[in-house]
Amino acid sequence: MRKDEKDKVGFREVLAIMVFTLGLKGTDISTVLLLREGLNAAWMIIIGSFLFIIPSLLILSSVLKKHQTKNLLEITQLTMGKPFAFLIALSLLFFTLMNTATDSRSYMTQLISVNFPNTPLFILYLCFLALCMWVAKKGWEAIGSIAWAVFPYLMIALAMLYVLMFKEAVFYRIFPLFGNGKWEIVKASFNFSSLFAELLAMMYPFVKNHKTYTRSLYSSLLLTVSLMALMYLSYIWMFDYRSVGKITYPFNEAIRIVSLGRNITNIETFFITLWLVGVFVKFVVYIYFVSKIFGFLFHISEFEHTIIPISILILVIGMIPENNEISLFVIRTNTLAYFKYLFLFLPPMLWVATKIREVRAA
Amino acid sequence: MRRRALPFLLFSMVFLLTGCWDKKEVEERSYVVAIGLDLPKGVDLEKEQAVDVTFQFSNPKLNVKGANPAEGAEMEDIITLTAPDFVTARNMANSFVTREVSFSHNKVLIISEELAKTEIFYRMLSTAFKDREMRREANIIVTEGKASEFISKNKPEMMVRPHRYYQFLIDRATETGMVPESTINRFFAITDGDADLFLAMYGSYDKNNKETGFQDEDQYIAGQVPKRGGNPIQLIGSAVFKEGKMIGTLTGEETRITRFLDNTAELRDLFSSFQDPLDKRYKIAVRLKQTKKLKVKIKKRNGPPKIEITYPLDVKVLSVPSMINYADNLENQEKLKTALKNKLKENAENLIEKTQKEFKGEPFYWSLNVRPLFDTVKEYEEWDWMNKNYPLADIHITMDVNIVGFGKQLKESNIEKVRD
Repeated sequence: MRKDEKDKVGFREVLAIMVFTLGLKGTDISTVLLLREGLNAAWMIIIGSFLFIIPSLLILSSVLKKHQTKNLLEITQLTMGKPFAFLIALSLLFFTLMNTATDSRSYMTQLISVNFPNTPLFILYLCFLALCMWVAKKGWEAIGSIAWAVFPYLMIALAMLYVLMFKEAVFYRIFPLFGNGKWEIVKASFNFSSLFAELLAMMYPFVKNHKTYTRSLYSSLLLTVSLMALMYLSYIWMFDYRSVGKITYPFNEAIRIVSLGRNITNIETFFITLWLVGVFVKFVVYIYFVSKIFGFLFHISEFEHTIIPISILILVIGMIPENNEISLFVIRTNTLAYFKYLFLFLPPMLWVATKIREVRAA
Repeated sequence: MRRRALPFLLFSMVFLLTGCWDKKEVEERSYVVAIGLDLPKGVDLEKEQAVDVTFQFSNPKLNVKGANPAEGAEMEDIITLTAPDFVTARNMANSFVTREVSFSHNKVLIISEELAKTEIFYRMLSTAFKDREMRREANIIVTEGKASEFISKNKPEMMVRPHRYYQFLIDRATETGMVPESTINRFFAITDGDADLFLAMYGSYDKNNKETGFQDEDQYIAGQVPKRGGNPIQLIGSAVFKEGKMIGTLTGEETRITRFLDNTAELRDLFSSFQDPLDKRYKIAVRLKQTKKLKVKIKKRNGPPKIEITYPLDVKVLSVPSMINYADNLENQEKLKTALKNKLKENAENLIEKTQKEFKGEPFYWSLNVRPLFDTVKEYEEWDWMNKNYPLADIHITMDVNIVGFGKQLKESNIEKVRD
């Protein structure tokens, strides 16, 4: 792996990348899962799952601090031995690959069913992944710059969207406050805790130093969680909890309903364009990380060469499910359910292993 | 590198600039501005699914400055056909409409009362929203007669563009409170919430002049407004929907009260007349406005709940034909206030009683005020506001009326002196 200074990014780039990769989950089809579990308390699940992931994040941060410049998998290899690291890397690869494939497919389906009804999925998917691949090939620094470059525009558009959505909102629809019940929210929060887990740890070696890492991690997570919670709240305020459950793409419906005054209606194209830019950045980052894990697993130091074959693999896997609902209800539900344990328990395990090694060394 | 990229870029332009599968010019589309739905004649709905669909298209030529609208083309802009549902009717229409029929600028859904009263209506409407072009911000208008006739009889005054016409009609009518705001989004939210009644705009066209004679300005329902000339269609009052099915109507006045009693409704300006308390022959014209929110306090208890309502209204006196001075006579002012209070309270109480007895549900969206009393959705839905509690509830109204002004003319002329 190349370790020149060029490959590191600073606070704002990390912030932009994290907000895109995680925040966009408030706009895609996974909202269906959360709204089904939480009804009008879905926004609490967002906050709850964030709280669930905090302890492992803290532990992870302290582990990472000890092994500066190494990523999660390298640390695993160092502390727990090669076979175990291989296993972890393999499952992580499986998870991220499946996730990227089903996710990107679902975004494409979303685009097709709302905006491009006649365009074949394969062509749209191909164009999308080709562009993502092209950007991902440019390397980490380029990804960071792009994310940061488009970040302000997206935030302005998002702020505008919130203001417009508030105009349509009926705030009392937030009640009954706890939706399906408090215990249900806790359970659902635990189940969806991998919502915020992806890729966080992998980011580490790409950030300038430990301080920047922690600073950007926490601020971006806080920003993302609040943006997502607000997004879910807006859905509830606009559609009410029973009605929103029927909608496949609440985000798309929401941007259709809002209008600028009386005369400027049908402004969804404006939002969808900027949203699409965000989606591009998200999948550029995903593809980059998948190939990085792949590179680690098979000892390919110039892992950026694997981006092309991996994109093709993603395309192939993404094309398999017959419809988007299968990928949602079967694949995503299961991957989310099983891999949360990996994200929740790997950091503590690493911490213990590191401690044991330290004691032995002493 | 750059030199090699250039031909590639130029080559890809060939693909980019010709557009893709979904590229459609405005010229290639026909935009529907109003969809009308009727029960079809001669089809047994028990056995087969069918609906009469009427489309009114906008005329894109009119938007080109200086272009002459094709003469006599207006009538051809409206078509009616019988189809299984109105989503597929688009393609049926293409057997004689040359362009792609698009719903993406549809402003209203006009439904005949006859269809709205059947159970199939909700099925048809709610599932149509799987289609990507259906927009939830479109409004629902229920018409007394046939929707197709409502659309074709419509002769917009001063306006040639139908999409503007519907928008203005709806905007203005909702501002004055004569009709409710009835977007499809609200329809779904309320119907799926299953705790309130939904109100849709009620419209009619002059059919057989069944005017009921002169009444106060807002006591009519559509089709009864005494008028001569103008557009034959009227929009006043509301159609009441319970669980996706139409069950009755409200007059313009009742609709206005409903909207005052509903915190989610916004009213702009509302002129109304009341009997002069000091001289019963005359009517005082006032402008009503709600600046404060309605307060609804609901007490859960064993048996029917107790509901305390504080009903705030700001009154501006606009004309006093009896020529009695109210502005500088505080005693008279107090009398006027009490009279207004009593009248407004009585109206509201009558309406509430009507909804409790006749409709067995409320159109005021008070379930929103019930919700904070519960922690979970399950408890709230089991308590069943609409069916088990509201019809039996004990409701008290406290009026909070303020006379905020007397217009821009302080005193009335002294009629005795003028006559002298």
